[in-house]
Amino acid sequence: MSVPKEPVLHAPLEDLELELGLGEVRLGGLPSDIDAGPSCRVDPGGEGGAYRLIGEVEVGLDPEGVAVHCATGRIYVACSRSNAVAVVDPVELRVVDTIPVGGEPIDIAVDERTGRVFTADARSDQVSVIDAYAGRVVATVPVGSYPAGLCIDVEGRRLYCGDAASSTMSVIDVDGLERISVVDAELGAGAVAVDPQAGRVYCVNFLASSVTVVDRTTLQVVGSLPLPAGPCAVGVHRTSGSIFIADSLASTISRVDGYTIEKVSEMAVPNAPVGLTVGSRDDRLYVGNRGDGTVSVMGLDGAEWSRIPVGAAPGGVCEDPLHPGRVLVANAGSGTLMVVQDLLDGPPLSPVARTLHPMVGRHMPALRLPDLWTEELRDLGEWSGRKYVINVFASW
Amino acid sequence: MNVWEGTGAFSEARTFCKLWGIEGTVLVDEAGELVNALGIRGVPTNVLVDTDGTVTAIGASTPRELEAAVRELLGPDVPLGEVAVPSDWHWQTDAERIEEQLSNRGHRTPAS
Repeated sequence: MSVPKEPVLHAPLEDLELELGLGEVRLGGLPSDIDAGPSCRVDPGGEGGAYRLIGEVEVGLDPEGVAVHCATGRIYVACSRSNAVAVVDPVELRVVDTIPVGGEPIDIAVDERTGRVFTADARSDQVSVIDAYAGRVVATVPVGSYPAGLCIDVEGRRLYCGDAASSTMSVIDVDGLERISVVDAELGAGAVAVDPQAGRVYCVNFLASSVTVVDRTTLQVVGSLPLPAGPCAVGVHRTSGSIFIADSLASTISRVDGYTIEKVSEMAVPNAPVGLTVGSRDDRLYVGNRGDGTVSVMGLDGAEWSRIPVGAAPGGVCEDPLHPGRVLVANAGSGTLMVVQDLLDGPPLSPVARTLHPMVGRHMPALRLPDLWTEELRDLGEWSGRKYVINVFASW
Repeated sequence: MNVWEGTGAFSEARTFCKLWGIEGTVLVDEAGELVNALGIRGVPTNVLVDTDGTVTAIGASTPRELEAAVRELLGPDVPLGEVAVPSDWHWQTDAERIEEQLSNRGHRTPAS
């Protein structure tokens, strides 16, 4: 019997949600010799009912950006190390298509008017344009070097692209599919957000640790602001005109007044926030903590309402526009998309509990692993009898 | 310790180490053995280990957290020297070098 690569769910997702019991459960309908395992699981919820894990599906290598095409309801995930976009059916929660794009697609954005999906292909210095209905790339637009962030301005008919190595932000005509302007930003230009009400575009610069503020009409830089280390995600809270920026290396979220371009506050998050989106309920943020394997639900005042365990090294986070409170998380380390339902109506009565990592106080495992430079196996026992620090890292 | 590269782990990790000037021993955990054994769920993460092999901290990813964890591991009488984080610490980059390395990072052929 051939074993399908992707798990197949035989019941609609909405029905499955009603069938959940206590603890991790297997989904009905899977052939008995296929372990649903981590590639496909559901969970009844955690932290006193603050959230519910709906499902997890393997999508490809190093998924980073995630977006929803509302017209079809499908979820698009940029799998950077697969050089492809995975298309996920939101009901059956499985990959229904894989579309090759350029090298290392990091971010992704959808234009509902045209049904086009855009990817920032970092290692091809281009933006790929996918026709969501045709399921293939229909154009590519050259941009600056190492494009790493995208933001669609639906009303303005523009796509903004942060070009990390060029220190620029490319402006693309969404309908004409050509680059119409290049705005000077700073080194590591990546994530972009637009606030049509304020008439501003915000481009965060990961390596320069700053945000560049651009007039949406004239495309002139109107200001910039230094930030804590490693800003790599940005979201606009339209009601207040605030922008929220995930400072990945400082493990903080900066709140900046978009009009005055002044820092309002700084909020602590668990570890290495690299994904951020402002919730549709206007009162919270969803923050993907790459260093913690969690998504934090944060009040706008910086209080952490809940901390949701997701996959390994989560990156992009987005709220499904079709299902308020449903959060889509691209887990770069585990190569999965996780779907989570935020169940909180507002701030919880009790704060998130802080706990020590369960391995603290235990012994290091005995392992032999290859040396990066010589490729010879080395025993962790080499370091016994000494005090030492292991830094665990990935190159993405 | 390099983990979760997905593909081309040695090549990607070597490029990364050159890019950021990372020196010292680097091991490659392609199968995620160590992170699975330790229950590590994200990167970057630091693991601090005492002389008897006991894990004393996991996490401690910002410079200040790491400094505090190292101080605790070493004890109050051991000076940290240049490990200590200056009060005006900020992310330092050699902009020109990073820009060049990023631009030359290998424009891989997309999968077809």
